Amino acid sequence: MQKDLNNLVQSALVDISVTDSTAQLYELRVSILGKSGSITNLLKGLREFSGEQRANLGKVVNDAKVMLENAFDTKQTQLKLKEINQSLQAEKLDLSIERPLKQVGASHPVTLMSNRIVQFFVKLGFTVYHSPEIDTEYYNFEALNVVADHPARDMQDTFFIDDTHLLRSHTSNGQVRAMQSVKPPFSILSPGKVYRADQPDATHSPQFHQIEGLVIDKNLSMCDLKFVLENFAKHIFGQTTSIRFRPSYFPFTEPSVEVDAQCKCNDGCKVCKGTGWIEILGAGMVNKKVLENCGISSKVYTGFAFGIGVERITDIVNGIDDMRILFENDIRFLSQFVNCV
Amino acid sequence: MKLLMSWLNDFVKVSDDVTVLSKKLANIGFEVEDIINAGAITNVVLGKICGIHKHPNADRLVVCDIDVGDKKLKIITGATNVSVHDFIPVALDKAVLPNGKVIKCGELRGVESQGMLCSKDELGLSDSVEDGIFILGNDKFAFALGTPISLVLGLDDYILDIAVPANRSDCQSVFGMAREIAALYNKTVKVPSLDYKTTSTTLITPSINVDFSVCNRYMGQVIKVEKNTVPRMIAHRLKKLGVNVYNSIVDITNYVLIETGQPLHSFDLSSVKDGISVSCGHKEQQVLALNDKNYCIDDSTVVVGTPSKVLAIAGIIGCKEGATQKDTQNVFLEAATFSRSHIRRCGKNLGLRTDSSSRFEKGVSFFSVEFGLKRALHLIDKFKMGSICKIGNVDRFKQKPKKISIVTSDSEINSLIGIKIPQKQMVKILTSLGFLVTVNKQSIKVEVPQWRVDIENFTDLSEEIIRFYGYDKLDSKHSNFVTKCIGQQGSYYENRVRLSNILIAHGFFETITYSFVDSSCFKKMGIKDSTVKIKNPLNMQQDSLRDQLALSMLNTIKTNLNRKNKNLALFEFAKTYTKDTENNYIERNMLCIAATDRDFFEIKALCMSLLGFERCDFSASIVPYFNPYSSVDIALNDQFYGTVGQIHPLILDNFDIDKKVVLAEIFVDDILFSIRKDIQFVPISKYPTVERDLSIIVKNSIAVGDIVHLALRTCEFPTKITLLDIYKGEQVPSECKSVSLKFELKADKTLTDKEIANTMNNVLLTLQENFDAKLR
Repeated sequence: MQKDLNNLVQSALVDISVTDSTAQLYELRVSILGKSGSITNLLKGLREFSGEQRANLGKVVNDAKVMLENAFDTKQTQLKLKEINQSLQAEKLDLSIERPLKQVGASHPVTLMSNRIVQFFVKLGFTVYHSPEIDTEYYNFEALNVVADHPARDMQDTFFIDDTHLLRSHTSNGQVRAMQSVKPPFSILSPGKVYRADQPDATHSPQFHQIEGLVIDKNLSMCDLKFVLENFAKHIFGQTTSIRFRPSYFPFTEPSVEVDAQCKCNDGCKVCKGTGWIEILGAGMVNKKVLENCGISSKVYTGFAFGIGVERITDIVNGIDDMRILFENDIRFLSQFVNCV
Repeated sequence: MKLLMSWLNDFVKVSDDVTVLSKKLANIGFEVEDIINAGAITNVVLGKICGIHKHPNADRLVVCDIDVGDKKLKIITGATNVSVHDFIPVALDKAVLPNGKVIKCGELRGVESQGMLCSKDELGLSDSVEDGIFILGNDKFAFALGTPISLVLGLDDYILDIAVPANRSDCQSVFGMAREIAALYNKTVKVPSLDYKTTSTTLITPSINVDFSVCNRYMGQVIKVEKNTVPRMIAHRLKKLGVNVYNSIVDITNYVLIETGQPLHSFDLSSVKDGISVSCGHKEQQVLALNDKNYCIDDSTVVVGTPSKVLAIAGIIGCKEGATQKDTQNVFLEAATFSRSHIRRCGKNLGLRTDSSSRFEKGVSFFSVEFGLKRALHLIDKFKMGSICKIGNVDRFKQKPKKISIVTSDSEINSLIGIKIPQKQMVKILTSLGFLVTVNKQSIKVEVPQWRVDIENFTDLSEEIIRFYGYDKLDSKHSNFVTKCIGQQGSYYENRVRLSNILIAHGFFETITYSFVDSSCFKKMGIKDSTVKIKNPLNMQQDSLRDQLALSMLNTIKTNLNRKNKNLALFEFAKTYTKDTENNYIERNMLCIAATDRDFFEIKALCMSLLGFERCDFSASIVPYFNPYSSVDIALNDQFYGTVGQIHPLILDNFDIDKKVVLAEIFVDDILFSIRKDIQFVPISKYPTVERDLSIIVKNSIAVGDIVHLALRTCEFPTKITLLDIYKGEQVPSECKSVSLKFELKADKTLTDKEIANTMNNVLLTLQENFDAKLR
């Protein structure tokens, strides 16, 4: 019997080692350790023995059984790992494939820039104030010290609706309405569409967006204005940007300035025309007459105001060299602003 | 304003290069938009004649050997004043002369000429063509042969094209700019000479009648013309600035206009012998102006004329009748200032803007009239172009403007500017600009020079001071106003971003289009035109303010499809403009959504999601550009919010769009300006949701929405019903459809099988009763 057992174990170990699939291994296991397997049969044959011999033989067979079970388990683990690897290999992905996400849309770049500008000034304490696009000559011109025959009315060729109404040529009409209804001190922001009778070209459009800022308080000076605008320029163009003021003329401010931001180029580029400076907006101290026109005492209060052309800033920031593309709405253009804030 | 540097030099000497000057001018508020080289001579060099030979084929021509330093040339000329050893200007191949003429090598009667010898006239130095070749000398010369001729003759000159601010009418002239530039360089400006002699003549001075409501000052002078031409220097300057030379008096009026900014006009004295009147109220008539065009004047046009004739449209243009001719013997020279508003309005009505009218529009001061006239008379006298008649002058005005003086203080000015500019500095700047300043301890009294009509109060003075002191000296100090107010973005921006984000997540791109549309396109849209009109549109394609956004949206879709862009999904936030019954203009915020490859139900669901209503009322839409069978109006509590639907195929045809378009227009003021509503948490049910499906067969005409609404009302537990499928075909009669619905029943307890079965039975019974539904 001992001999039979040894032969059986030897041949079983050989069989296990040559098995190369879990299914074969299972069959082998059943044929040796199953209900009518060879080891099980050997154990059954122990009945023919008795006493101490039976106990000794039993222990030997049982040891062999445990040994074989371990051998099966080890082999099973090996084969399973091998088979999983094979199946993973079979399902190997072509990692080079790029499948696009479901297309998401985008805000228009001018909207994005408007929001960015508004958010900056709101942080500085400005409150958004809406005003109409169809307004009267009074709000668009007269109250702003642009009297009937003022040459400045030529500076901004205006679209007229009827004898008294026009499409606002700037968001400064909001200035007047705010001054007449809000008690100083205040800082307001008047954003929206404005209209000028300009033929569209690379830098002109009959319709564009403006964001007007107005601050009324005691003891404001041009240095306050410079502080606000310098921080604005840094917010939009980067922390190292500086600004400069150039004298200019607007009927509603005195003194009036054009504000330039430093160009990022080192040696002159198309945007700054080689000057190193880019014109970004107009500003100034609110004209005394405008304050008085709007019922604010110019003896007590001073103010400053600025008007930002959103398309202009968008063009500079996004490297757009022709403003007209903003109004074409070609999705190959619009989709470049996916995932922008 | 075009500033000729050599002319500026008469009043102030600038040693800086023109580019440096331009930068400095920008700092004081005058942007130089262009620098034009007015020398305008290229490839013309100094040469020397080394030999003269006969031309083999032409008696009147000679062939000259010319030394231009680095090479020898053969040049043919017909001039007779040249001799060997003469130094002459030589135009080389491809030379450009001041009149724009380009010289090229070429054959002259069979002999090649490698350039051209130039006359004074050809170099723009003389009016006469008979001068012959310009002989520069014939012995020794300080310049090497081949030196550019502009360097030899000092012909380098530049024109600065300056943007003069609208309030600085005093700087629309050479002398006006000279004043600013002198202050900039701390120099004294040389005031133009104004003196002249008068002579006694028998010429009669016309009587003058002026309507002072349209003309503040009218001056004139009778002149007997002695010479027909102006000195070469004057003609030369005018030519450089593109002004044609005509005759002495007309040229002087042009010259003085450029130099002093004062427009002048000259009449033939014989045509004004009946007197001159400046007035409006003339009958409607055509007049032939000096530019050979006819203009129609009416009773609002300010006219200079005699009782019977119109001689000039005041301040804008003269008429052919009464104009000075080349050979006019006696003239009446007019200098005046007309009301800005009249000039502006007349010019606009006539569609005419001249050098003169643009000056008047910006404002010509009372004192400029006298200054300009006297300057003209000085030049006429100095260059003996005419005799100034002793008693032939007139000066009519109602009232001299008062002198303006401003009392302020350095602290008042500094508080506006924000830095401490020393009082001494302020006085220095103001004085250099012609202000008379008296300092009395703290206060400063400033008398404004008569030409500065733009200065009214201390803020104007502050600007004068800071623009010369330097804006770069302003601090950017942290201001305490910043912390005073808490900024409010307001609900509009919050809601707009919120709505946009929903649309963006669904793949939509935002567009921005013009608020104006083409009224002729309303027909294409099948709608009546009741839009607000623009009185002065840029073109007829932009004559109306839109009352809907669909037109612009369809145009955008068309543009994109033309460019082969596919799968369009677009939205636009914009205003619509209408007029109410009381003629008030109404602006309403609208959202337009459109897509080419999405179905109606998706856009409808998107609209509902954007509106944020739990339920709303749908009714068939009658908006003409929608397909009537696949469009609905959206309303809630009788308020109309908009329409969603497919665009009518005939409308798409009109736009040449070959894709189906689903479009929605929603009025969004309520939503954009709604105040944020905070979500109130609802506890999550501890009990499971029960799902049951129900399939029924109903007539095609029964609306699924009606079935769902009725079913919802029948369920006794809170239920969500979703449409799974609509099936037509086998096993369903052709006039019927099979509708499959999913019911999700919720309750605050675990529902028993019996309760569920009862509910579903009730639903089926009700549907059978109301819609003749059969269980499938």
